Amino acid sequence: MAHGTSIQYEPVAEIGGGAYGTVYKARDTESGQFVALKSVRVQTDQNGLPVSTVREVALLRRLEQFDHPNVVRLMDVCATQRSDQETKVTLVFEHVDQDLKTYLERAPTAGLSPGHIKDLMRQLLCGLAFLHSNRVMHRDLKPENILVTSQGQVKLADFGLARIYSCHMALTPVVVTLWYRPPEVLLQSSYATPVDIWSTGCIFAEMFRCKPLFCGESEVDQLGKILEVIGLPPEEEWPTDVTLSRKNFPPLLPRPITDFVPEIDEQGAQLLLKMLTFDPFKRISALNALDHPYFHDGETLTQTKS
Amino acid sequence: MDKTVLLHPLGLQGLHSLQALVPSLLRREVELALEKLDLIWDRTYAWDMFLDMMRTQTQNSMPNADLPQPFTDVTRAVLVDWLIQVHEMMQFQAETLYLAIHLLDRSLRQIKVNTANLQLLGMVCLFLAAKKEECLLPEVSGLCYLMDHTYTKQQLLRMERKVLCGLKFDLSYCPPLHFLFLLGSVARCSPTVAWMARYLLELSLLEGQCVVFLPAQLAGAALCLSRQVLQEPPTPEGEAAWCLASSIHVGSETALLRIMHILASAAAKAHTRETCATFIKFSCPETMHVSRHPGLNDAPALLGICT
Repeated sequence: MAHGTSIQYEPVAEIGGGAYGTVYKARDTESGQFVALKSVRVQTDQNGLPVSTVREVALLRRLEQFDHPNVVRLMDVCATQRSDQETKVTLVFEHVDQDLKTYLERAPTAGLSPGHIKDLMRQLLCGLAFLHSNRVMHRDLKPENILVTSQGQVKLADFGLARIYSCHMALTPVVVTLWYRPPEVLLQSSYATPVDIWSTGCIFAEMFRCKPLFCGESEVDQLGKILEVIGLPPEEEWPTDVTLSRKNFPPLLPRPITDFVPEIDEQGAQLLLKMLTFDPFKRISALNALDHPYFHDGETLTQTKS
Repeated sequence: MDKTVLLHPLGLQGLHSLQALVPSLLRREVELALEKLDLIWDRTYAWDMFLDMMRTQTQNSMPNADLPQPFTDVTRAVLVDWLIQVHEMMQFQAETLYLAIHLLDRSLRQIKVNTANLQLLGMVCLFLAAKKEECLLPEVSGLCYLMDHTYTKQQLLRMERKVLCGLKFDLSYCPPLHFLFLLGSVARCSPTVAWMARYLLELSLLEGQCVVFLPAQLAGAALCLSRQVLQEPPTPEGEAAWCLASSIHVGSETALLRIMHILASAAAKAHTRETCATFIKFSCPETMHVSRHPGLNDAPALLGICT
């Protein structure tokens, strides 16, 4: 199987060149199914594949056992040697044609219905709660890696990859989007699972607006755009281990979130604010977000029953 | 998972009042045990984790005990015995050994290896288990030295990739040892009973026939046999704790008895075998000399087997 990937999986098209290397759509010649091939080049020394890669990929495999409906299937993994110093690890994922970005672009001009948004959000948070309870964070959640099947099922993709890649890959000069990054990441402070909740908040707003909420051009610009909406946090919430001082930003007051997301209802706006909370420790968790009154009303309950 | 699935219907008959208490009592005991064993960080997740252990272990046994040609249970035992020695020399965690043998059993069935490469496969499985579990890793050159340089470093690394691909990087395993710790803790076992059970459980690694059983079954059988061999005088608290521990459903009585038979025969013969690394390991004072306990010689008779 060492050189089996190229035989079993027949590339059909290049489907993305993201920060993590090229992604191919391929056909599994055994099953006829389409798959997505993502390759990571890992630096290997004389002791073989690095421990971190072995553990991270094994963790992704373990998650597979739970067969969660809102995460993308990892069907196969393969390691091939490229040189003495480099091994290529290929992850074979189920292929879903559509991501949330194209889904929103194809939405009717009036946008998605509130009930539809609620359904997508619930699925997104279910997937996230599952990952977080297994100590996996996504770290780079954005509409491009949230897949939506033709039946409207949401599936998270590319989770856990950030760690595998960043450890071993020389940084490529690809611009990574800043738009879904939380303040703690922009400030280069320490971070954990709340990063994904911030990104989810940004995406929640985007579903109503059909365009991104914060479109910054640099880290500082991104942070400035965020603070224009949520206001400048109190001194004690500003992380202490960062170089960028709070004094660099004007003393802005929070503005009503409905100025930016006018179509959102009362409960939705409340939930959104809990997700777009500056302090990661005060930000709502995925599990608690699912329990929020926004998800309690009858409209979607009857929808899921029917 | 439904709680009733976990509860053993036998052993609790006639104890209706206790039976009603068991689910909550058991839950509390399991949570405490997992915490005490340092297997969890947060008690609120303990019960979920236990249910996870019970569920995922079902993927950890082999469908049958057949080995691909030309390997036999004897060749397997020789290799496992050697790995037990290497493992001990490296001072790895006990979990690493169980994972290594599990990876070996799966690899033997997943990838093609010839007799000449069997030792290399075993070493790579131990190396991968260490990569998964250990903080300090041995150098590949050191591993080659331990194999008298029969294989080059390149061969070892090639085998590593082959095994990872063959197993599709799936290194997850719920070791029977964790079930043993859990059961032993809930059952309030004495240190001697616990060490004896650990010895018997490690002997199961050498038995090719044991790969078809679930980790919880192996642990349950090792603990049962240990109690029978040692025949410690019963106390009311001890019996109640044992009753609670045996309410954790570890499979059919038949399976339990079959494992106990295999382990009893293995323990009775352990000192005469060439594959005696485990016997020696558990004969030292740190392990309370359990492998030399005279009761083990009669263990098969205890279960009614004619030797």
